[in-house]
Amino acid sequence: MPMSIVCDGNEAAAWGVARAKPDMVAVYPITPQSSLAEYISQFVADGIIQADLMDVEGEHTVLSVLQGACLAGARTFTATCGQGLAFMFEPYFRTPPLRLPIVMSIVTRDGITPQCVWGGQQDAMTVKEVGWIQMYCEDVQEVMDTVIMAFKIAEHPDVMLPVNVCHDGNYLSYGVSKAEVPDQEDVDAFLGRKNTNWHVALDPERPMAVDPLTGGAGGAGPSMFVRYRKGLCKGMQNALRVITDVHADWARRFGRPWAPLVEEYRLEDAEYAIVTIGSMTGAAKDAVDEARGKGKRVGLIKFKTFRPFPLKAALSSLSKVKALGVVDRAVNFGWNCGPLYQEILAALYHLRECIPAISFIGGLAGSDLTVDKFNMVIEETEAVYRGKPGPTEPIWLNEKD
Amino acid sequence: MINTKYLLIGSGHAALSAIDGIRMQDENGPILMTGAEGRSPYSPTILPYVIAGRKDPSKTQLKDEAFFKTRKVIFMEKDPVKVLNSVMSRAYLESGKEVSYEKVLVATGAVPQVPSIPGLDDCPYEVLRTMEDALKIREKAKKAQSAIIVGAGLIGMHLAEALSSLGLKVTVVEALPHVLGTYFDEVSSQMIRQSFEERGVKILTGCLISKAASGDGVCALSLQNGIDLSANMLIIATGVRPRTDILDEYVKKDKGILVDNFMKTNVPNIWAAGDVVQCKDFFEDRMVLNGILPNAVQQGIIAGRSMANDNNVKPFRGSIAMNTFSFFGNKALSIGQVNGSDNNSDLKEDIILSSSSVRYQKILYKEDIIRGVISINTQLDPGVFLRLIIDQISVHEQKNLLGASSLKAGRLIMSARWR
Amino acid sequence: MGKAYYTIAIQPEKCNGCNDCMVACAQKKEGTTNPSDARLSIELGEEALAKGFALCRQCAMPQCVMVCPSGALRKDEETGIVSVDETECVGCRLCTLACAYAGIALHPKKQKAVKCDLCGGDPTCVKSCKTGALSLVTAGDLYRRWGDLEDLFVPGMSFCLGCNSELIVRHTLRRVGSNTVVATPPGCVAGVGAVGVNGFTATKVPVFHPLLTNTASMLAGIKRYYNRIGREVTMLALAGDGGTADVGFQSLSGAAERGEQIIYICLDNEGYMNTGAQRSSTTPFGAWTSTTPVGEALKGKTRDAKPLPVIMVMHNCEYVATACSAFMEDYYQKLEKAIEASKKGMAYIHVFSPCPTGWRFLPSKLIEVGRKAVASNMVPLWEYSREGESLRFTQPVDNPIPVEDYLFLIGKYRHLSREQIEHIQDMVNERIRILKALVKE
Repeated sequence: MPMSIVCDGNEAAAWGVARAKPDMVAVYPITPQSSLAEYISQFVADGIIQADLMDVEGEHTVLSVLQGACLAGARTFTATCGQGLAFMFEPYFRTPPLRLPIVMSIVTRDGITPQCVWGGQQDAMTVKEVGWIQMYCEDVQEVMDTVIMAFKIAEHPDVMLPVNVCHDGNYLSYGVSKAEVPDQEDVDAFLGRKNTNWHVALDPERPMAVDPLTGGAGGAGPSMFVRYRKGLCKGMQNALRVITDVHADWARRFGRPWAPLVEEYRLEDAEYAIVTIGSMTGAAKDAVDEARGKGKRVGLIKFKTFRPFPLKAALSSLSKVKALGVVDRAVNFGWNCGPLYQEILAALYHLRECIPAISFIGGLAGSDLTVDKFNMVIEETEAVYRGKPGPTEPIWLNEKD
Repeated sequence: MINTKYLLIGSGHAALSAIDGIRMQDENGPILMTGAEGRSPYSPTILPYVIAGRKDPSKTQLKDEAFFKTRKVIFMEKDPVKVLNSVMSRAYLESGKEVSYEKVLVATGAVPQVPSIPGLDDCPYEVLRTMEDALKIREKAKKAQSAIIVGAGLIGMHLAEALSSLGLKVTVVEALPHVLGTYFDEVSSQMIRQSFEERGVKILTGCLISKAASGDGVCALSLQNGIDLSANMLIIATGVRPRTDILDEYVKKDKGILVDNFMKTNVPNIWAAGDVVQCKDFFEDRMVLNGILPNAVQQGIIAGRSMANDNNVKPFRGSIAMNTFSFFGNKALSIGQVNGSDNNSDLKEDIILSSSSVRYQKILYKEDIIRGVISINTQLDPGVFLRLIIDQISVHEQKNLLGASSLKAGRLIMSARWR
Repeated sequence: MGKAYYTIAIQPEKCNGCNDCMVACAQKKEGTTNPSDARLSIELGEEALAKGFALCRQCAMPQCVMVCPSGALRKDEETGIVSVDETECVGCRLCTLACAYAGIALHPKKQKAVKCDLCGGDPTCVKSCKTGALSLVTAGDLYRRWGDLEDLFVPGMSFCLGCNSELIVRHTLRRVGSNTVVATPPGCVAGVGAVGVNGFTATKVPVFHPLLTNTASMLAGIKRYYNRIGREVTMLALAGDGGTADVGFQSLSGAAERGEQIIYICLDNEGYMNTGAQRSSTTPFGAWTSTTPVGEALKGKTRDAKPLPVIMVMHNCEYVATACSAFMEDYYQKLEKAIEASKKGMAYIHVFSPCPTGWRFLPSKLIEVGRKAVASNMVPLWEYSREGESLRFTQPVDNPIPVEDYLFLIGKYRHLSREQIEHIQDMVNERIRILKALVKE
């Protein structure tokens, strides 16, 4: 029988890790991830997780030991955020091209400076181009389930890429709700046998040189380099199919159907929609419900999988409406808008149709994205749907809090 | 004209060691070695044993033909160098031959130093430096009943034992207050002297000679203290002086040929080693004569390697007085500084003295570093102690053990330090 | 000359003090069972490892032979055995004064010098030794022994002429063997193609490029997983000083603190030599590098080198040593210990690695540079093991040569002023003082 517990998102992630039975977990504490590191350490101490616990001296080493273990054949997990992720960046941006199926939670946190320790997705959004798969969770149960699914996705032979399971600092890391921990044997059956290094290994029984110097302007270099790059791109595209399949399999086995790539909420007859990512979606859905109660034809599009960008799924949802309000918890400084917003614009290009869209930025550094804020988002979006010229700059939702 | 790369003048320990030094670096450079006596190389040190009959004079050769052959050395054993022209890099041999060299080692050794004593020139006295000398003394000793030996240094005392063992009545006359004063302190010197006297050797110390005379197969000495001595044989053993007569004025000399720590003279292609040199002292900043066999070997190796441009050759560490001395079955040893605690307050002594037997040991320390050792019939490894002195190894922790159990302590330190 | 002769080698840590060798020797040579009649002797000190071995080394240039005034001693040119002709010995004992190894002594009854003659080539003491502390070896044995092992790097790697690192890494991997994962972070070893180029590799065992910053961490991860699945695989880092002492130091420090089971070999060529000789934290004071140039205002590096090996001692590594290719036997002994120690925790060897290209000296001077570095105490050779809890000099230098004898061999020091040389000499003296303080007497 599945075990029902009441827990926060960090504990939920730790339970997901426990059920996935990794060989090695490495942790270095950082707010708001710290309790996740503590849960995992306690689980190891209690024998709930029977992994090598690498309590190392920094995030850089966290990911480095996992890379080594993975190259030897281990299933591995870690978690970090914010500055930890920044410090980890050197091995982090090498993980995808090494094709190592490492799973890492990002308990998302806003970036410094100004100095802050609260939620925001600036960290995860800053590393979005590196080649890690990124999935953003909405609630505590989804965190637990997605951590488990992440291993299956990462280790799929058509993918072989690292996965970030992102859950929002504060809202999800500390927000408590009821969750169900699946049975171990069911998860074992779901995940199957691990094989993390069939493709690249550091093993005297299969000697090979890992990562020779490759490239340059002559000889085999240029074409070989392109082959590696295209291979990574292909793995990312394959991941869209695999993520979908794995979520379907999860729904079948555990009765919890999560939208794998993009979730549509009350979108069927919507004239316009708001676009969300992560835990803000709960409040956003309440606002949509309220608006619907007032007769407004508004829907919601939630991105769960952000990397690889689920273009087809996105287009299928975006094409159903005539105006968009995109809410980000991070800033794209280069374009003076939210990063998700910028991605939506890129996707819209494929529709051969120009529909109005507004960039909203809110929830920075732990500030609240309440139903009221989304009411405002819906109002502004409706206004541009009605023909009002859209703002040329982002709307900062917590500017007057 | 003979051309050679290396000319070695002399065939003693210094020159022989230089051969190996050169060949470490230069396998084929031509080496020419000249001797003086027409003999295979031998050591003057062996001569007292020849006189005592403990060594067959025909078996004193240090090196055989194979040694020279494998090392590709031409040895001209009886054509000594008469004159060395340092400007022309030429050596003129007694036979009239000329040798043109690139580099030369002067290892001509030493010759006996004879004091000026009125009347001595008219006496048939002997010295002991060459095999000829030894054979002559040996022949004379067969017919003689008594001998006077002037000088109580190593050669004098060796001779005293040798002649006494042949049945001669021996008298030793020494100007200094103790026998073997270079090597032994008052206590040990006295112990040695007593052994000689117990065996009938008469020893007169602190005695200066006023004149010598001879007649009827008897030599007579008058001492300044009024004593008159006479004997069938008179042997002068008052030390040696470097043999520098073949050198021209361009090679710097003081009492001996002055050399640096690589045994180089002031002339760029002239080296010198062994008893002929005056070199740095180990303990003090001064240039000393130190005609001691182990030093000659060290100097020879260094000179050879330096001549062959060996960059890794370590400089000579300085001259250290050292010797072994056996007398009537007793074993004495002296290394380094053996006196000095009286007038030199930073030196400390660690002494073991036996009142009932001939047994004495003294280790002289400067702080935790050994400066010298005297041993008579005690158990220790001389070479190990020499290395402790040379390397100036601090033995603070092992001091007690070194005094009480010198052999063991020395070996433990050796294995830890230079195994 | 130049022949490799046999001698009896001693490994004191294997000796249990049983005296079997001495009894066997006494029986053979004197017909007694009294150990004191033997021609070798082992004195036991108070501490387990303190042993005094008195035994002839059959020296290549035997001082006993050279000082013998009687022609009684000789070294056989064929066998190398140094022997005494008793009939010619006069018992003068000059040989005992010449031998620093207590390898020759006077026979108490015969009053003649006696010494080990290797029993003609098949020494009975070696045969009697059950622990393997005594063995019969030749000087060339070292190379013969390891020469039989496979060179696990391919020929033709693009090391510079006279590269010290090539010498060290080839020997190292030969000994460590093929059941190994090799990490070569960016630097000279990786730069010459150890991991490979465009699909080809130069190493016959698993090898990879860690980041410059995470060599120890990645090896730790690999090792932990093999331990978990019960496989014994050796982890070997062949890293430069930059990747070790500078940007890679955090991961090394962390791995050392955690006791990761790694053999970490730092090839210290005192700078970033693979990329044009820039300074690193191990570049010594005064040295020219391309980022500490010499001109009117600057005269080379202004800070002393980071004393990394001592820092590693302070990490309580299982084993820490310094090494130099001019002392290969010393290095091999340390490598042996490192391999053993890495089964328990981190073994760190800091290899002094003179670089003819970046330091500006002739490749032919490589070994001379190494020797003088050691002889001047610029590079003291020592080892530390956590078990012994002490530091030990393996090549003690009691009378060091002045540092300038070393410095002037090398182009990167050519500009040094008298003050700079004095600074270096003071630094060397001070570091030796600190090291000596770590030696437990």
